[in-house]
Parts: sequence; structure tokens; C-alpha cells
Amino acid sequence: MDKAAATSILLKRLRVSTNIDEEDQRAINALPIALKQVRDEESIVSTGDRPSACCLLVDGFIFRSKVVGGGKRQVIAFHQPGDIPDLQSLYIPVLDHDVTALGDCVLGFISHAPLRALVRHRPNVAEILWRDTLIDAAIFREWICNVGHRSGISRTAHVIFEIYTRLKAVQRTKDKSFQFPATQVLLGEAVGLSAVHVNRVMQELREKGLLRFERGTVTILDEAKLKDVADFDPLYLHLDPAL
Amino acid sequence: MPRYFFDIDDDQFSISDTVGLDCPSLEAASKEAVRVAACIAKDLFSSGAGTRITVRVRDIDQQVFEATLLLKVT
Repeated sequence: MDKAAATSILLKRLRVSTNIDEEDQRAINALPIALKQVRDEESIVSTGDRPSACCLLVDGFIFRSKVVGGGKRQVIAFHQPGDIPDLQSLYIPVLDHDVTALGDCVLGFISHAPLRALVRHRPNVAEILWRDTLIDAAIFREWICNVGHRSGISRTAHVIFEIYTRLKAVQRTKDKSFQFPATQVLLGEAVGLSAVHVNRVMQELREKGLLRFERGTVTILDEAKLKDVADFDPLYLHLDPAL
Repeated sequence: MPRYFFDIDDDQFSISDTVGLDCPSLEAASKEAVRVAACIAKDLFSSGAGTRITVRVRDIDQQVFEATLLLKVT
């Protein structure tokens, strides 16, 4: 994995959801990126940190979380390759949540200074990154609705369908299958269910012939029905620049 | 902190908890059992797929107690 692979996945994702032109792509290509391998569950940045770089996820998964009173952890987002989960640190200096590796992953650190210079120099890049953080907020809105009102099976299906849809957009799925190294505990922390409840939901999803989740691999068995059970409308992902 | 396992048994599924949860006391484990049962009951009862859910709590050696939630409409 080299720097070219890092910019390539970032540009691939930006090309999907934004109108990015050749010159902007060249400017992003010229950004200095420091690659780093991190292990499963390793902390990347934590609450209270003042990061001096943004972290681009090149390969693997990242989750963001907050610990609430009583020590319970709420997972607030899962990130796929091409995402910059802490892009907000460019303008909000102190982090208000934790960013952690989900499985082994490859990160590309982009220092704030050159990124800020690029944003000032190229308003179109600024707009593209702004749009990206707005989509991030749209995903949070959907997650609030998810944990607030959907049933256990629906909310779990929704989170998995979201990951599947976003991975498919950057060609990181194989047929209808993808690697996802989350435990049932972690998935439970994302949907507000206990691990055993997630286990029950998984058995139900499997029995209904909708999806299988075994040994870190998710296989979508019936995409249309799963989407229906998940109450999933992809609009909030704004994957198309026209949306 | 001892680890407790929360096996569930309802009108649809019997599921053995393979992960467990560390609880500081038996009282904390019983609160967790109620939380698990109530959370599943919310789905099960409201969808009409069942009227009973039992959570069997065990430590690494044996079952320590069970909690049952019953829906009774009169």
C-alpha cells in the first residue's frame, strides 16, 4: 500500500458523490500523506485530543464512538475506505469523540497545514469537503431515527445495508458479500441492543433468508427484502452529486 | 468482575449467549437481564410474534437465576 493507493481511494469516493474536476484531483494528489498501519481496536484519536492531521481511511474499517455516563459506549458511525472520519478537526481543534480501528487497517494522515492551504487556494475543494461533512451529518440524522424508532431487526439491517451500499459505491463488495470484522457486541453498541439481542436478530435475518453474518463476512441473501425490512432509503447518503 | 451470560428463550428463538457481560454484582446482572428481556419484548410483543420471553442468567459454572416477561392482555 503506497501513497498513490491512498489518494486513489479518496478520489474514487469523491468522484462518486461530488463534481470534482481534473485540476482539483491533481491538487488532492499532490497532498502529502503519511501512511500508517494500525491494529484492530487500536485508538486513532480520542476525546480531548488536538489532532494536527486528518486521518484518511485507506483500507479496513474505523468506528467513531462516545462513552456515556455509566461507562456504556455508543458507536456513532462506521467508516469505509475513502472516508476522512475526523475532517472536522481541521476547524474544530478538540475532538469530542473517539476514533478507533475496526479490524486491522491502513490510514493516511494528511497534516492540517497543507489541507487548510489547499482549501483556501481552491474553493471547489473546500466545497467538496464541506459537502462531505454535510453528508456525514445526514448519516448521523439517519442513525438518530434508526435507534429512536426502528425495531431491533430493522435497525440492525439498516446499519448493515448502509455499510453495504457505501462499500458498493467504491467497489469494495464482492458479489453481494463484504468483509466486516465487527463483533456482535460492537454492532450492538451501534444499534443500542445487547450482544445477545443482536445474536437473536442475526438468527432471524438468517432464518428469513435476508442475510448471513459469519466469521467477519456479511452476505446479502435477498437485497430487496432486506432493504424493505431495514426501511432503507439511500437518499440520505447523497451518493450522486445531483442529490 | 464476574462474567454473566444471558441466554434467551422466547416464542421464536432459543439463543445461547456466547459473549457474556462483566457485571459487578448479581444485582447488576439481574438489572441487565430485565433490560435484555424488555428490549426483546418491545420487538416481540409489538410485532405480535410472541407473548413470553425468558432470560436465563448463568455464570461460568451454572445457571444463577431466570427472569420471565409475559404479555397478558385482559
